[in-house]
Amino acid sequence: MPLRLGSLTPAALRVGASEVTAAYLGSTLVYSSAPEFWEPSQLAELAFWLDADDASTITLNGSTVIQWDDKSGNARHVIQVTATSQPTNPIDLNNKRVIQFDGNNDFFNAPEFTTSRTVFIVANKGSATAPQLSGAAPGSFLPTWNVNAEKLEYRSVSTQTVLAVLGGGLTTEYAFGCVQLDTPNNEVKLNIFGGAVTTVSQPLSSSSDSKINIVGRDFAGANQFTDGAVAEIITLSDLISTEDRQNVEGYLAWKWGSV
Amino acid sequence: MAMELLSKLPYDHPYRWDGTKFGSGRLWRPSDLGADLALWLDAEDTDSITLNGSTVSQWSDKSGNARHASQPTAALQPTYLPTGFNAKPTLQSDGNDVLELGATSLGRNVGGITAAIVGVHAAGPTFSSNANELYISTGTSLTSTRFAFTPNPSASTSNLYAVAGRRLDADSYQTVSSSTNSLDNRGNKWIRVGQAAYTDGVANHWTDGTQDLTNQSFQTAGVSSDTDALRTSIFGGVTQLPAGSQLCEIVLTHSTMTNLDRQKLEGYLAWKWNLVGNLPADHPYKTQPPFVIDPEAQKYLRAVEAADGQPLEEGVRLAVNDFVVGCKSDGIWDEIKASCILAGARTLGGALVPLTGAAPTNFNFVAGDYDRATGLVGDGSTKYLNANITDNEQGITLNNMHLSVYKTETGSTVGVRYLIGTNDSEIYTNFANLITQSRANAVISGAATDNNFIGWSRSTSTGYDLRVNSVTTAQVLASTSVANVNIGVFARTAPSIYSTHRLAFYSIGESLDLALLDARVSTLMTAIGAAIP
Repeated sequence: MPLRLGSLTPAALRVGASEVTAAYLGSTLVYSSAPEFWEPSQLAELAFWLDADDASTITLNGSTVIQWDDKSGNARHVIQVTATSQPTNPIDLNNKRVIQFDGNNDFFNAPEFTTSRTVFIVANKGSATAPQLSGAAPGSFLPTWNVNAEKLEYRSVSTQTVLAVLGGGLTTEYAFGCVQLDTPNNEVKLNIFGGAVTTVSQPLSSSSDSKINIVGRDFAGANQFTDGAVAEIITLSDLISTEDRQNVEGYLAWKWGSV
Repeated sequence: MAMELLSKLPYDHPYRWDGTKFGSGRLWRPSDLGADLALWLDAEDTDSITLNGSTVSQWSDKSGNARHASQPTAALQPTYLPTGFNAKPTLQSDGNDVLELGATSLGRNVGGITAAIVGVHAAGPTFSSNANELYISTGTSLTSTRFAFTPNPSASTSNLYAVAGRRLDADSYQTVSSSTNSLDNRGNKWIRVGQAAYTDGVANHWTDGTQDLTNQSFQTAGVSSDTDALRTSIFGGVTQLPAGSQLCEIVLTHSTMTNLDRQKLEGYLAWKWNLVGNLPADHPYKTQPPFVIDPEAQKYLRAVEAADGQPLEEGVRLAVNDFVVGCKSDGIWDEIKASCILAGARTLGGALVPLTGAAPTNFNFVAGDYDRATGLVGDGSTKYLNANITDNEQGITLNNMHLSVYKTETGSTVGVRYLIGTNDSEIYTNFANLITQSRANAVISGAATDNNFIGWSRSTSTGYDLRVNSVTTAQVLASTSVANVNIGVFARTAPSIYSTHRLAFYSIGESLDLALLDARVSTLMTAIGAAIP
């Protein structure tokens, strides 16, 4: 709901240094600083947000991407300074742009952070046989589409072994899924396509198992690059409610799943 | 890819059908058919399935009429296969199964019945004569059938998809067969729509969106009998469907469904059951499923409401949506390259949001020039819109172009007064006459004061169509040249020759059927007028 001052549309309404988030005339809401439609920025837990279809977050080096900016407000931008390892930003999924990796040497370095407990990812698993879209040693929390097993996997950052899997028959070109780490209860929760959540008991380390430091490459480093594509990654600093999870799923499904 | 990610959300996910929270549309569903919806059985909705182990004891009606189909005898209950039909749930018969409804008012005292079924027959078994997917009867015999679907109506017209039944209880039972061979189609999943148009005395049938029975004489014209159906059967009736037959969804309305609604129903079923490949290439829902609010209409409405700073009335929203959906259904949407609805929005800013194409640049119009019901009025001297599209781009060429306006008030008719155009392609008034120029002039004497849709469309070098006062005439005038300048509205670009007429719509684009556009624009204007308090 835009704020108007005559014919002008100020970016924000403030009282002193404090921003006014809502204004009422009687009981009628006449101004709100909230986005007109629901989006992940409304989640207080938002830690990291990469959106390949937001051109304002993509820095190109010719036809390749040198930087993909984090939209969470935490400035966790991912970068690849080596031109030959820079992915591209083609239009692919329902006429929207994605980050396309080449399967040879493309990937992004991310500033390492360990505050992600919930991760959503929309990605094309590609055709390479190695697990993908995760991080190189010392590991990363990003979930993996295992092409051979056609499953969503979560792997240990420390041991790089598969801790939790979901699926089988995950044959679609693009998919979206969610992995949540319930560290206090030592449980990994996974679901794909907004479906039922599968819970796997697994000892977790809060300090390392939520680490993210790379996008587009597997733990093992060399020869573990994806030829898939990433449309969007959203990570949250904590477990979220079912309602909020469904909000993110609905946001992703309608954004990437409708023409 | 299209809607695959969205369609994979679970059936009961809160956002499987409605994306308005995220600025998108809401998918059309049979519940949008309103009071005509008489029966809706849906295997994907697990809440509507009552299981007895692995078999189905009740398939509950979602129409709101509580016409639940059930079977207390376990041996006659169809089997529930959670991923049996394109990875989605289905009910499968063993050759003896049947679900029954008792006495209902299905088909009672109605002017028509339209039913759609999604299913498949196994590749091997043949069909018993008068086997039924759906059977509504006022008695217990074949001759008492009121309305039925069958893959094999009788020995004389064997193995053709057909609809059958009677209008009046006193009528003789009749079958009308499509041209689609049911034996040949075994093993292929299908969407079939059957229709008994009682008031017209005809029947129709479509298989996978293609009509294979057209207005076949069916009983006498009138309304069906005012008696209840004693029995309705699924998977059987006179005789049972063969083993391996699967049914996924049945939608039945008490109406002779319009083609628009029938196509929506087919589109809904095709996208839901992964049968889009079955639809013909020219089906309106081949590339996207039906929406209650079309995504492009939603995008436009969202922008208008953002500019207005408040929501539009639901009636205005639906009017715009119907216009967009209608133009798409008519096959003229893609031809419109730039357009504004200069009515309906709450503010001038909202009215200048482009429906499609580039936004116009406003020269000197102010809020007081705009009326929600009747549109924007020129001043004859300084006010005009630059449509920011030339007569030679985006597929618009010398011999492939249209211009249209919807004029709601006539201003000064002294001298030349431009409605839209350049100096090569234009619509203007000149004293009492309406002049259109598609690189050569056509004069409509005395038409300057007529207020309605005006348009021309050129698709050849030798002439063009002109539409005024709901009449299209062919003008034999050769094309000459393009101006290669932006098109003006309320004035001719350079700009010059302004008008004081009032306009509520304009469109610029490739050649199209003017009668179709006129009908859609006129309906839009009427609906907007009715929706504004």
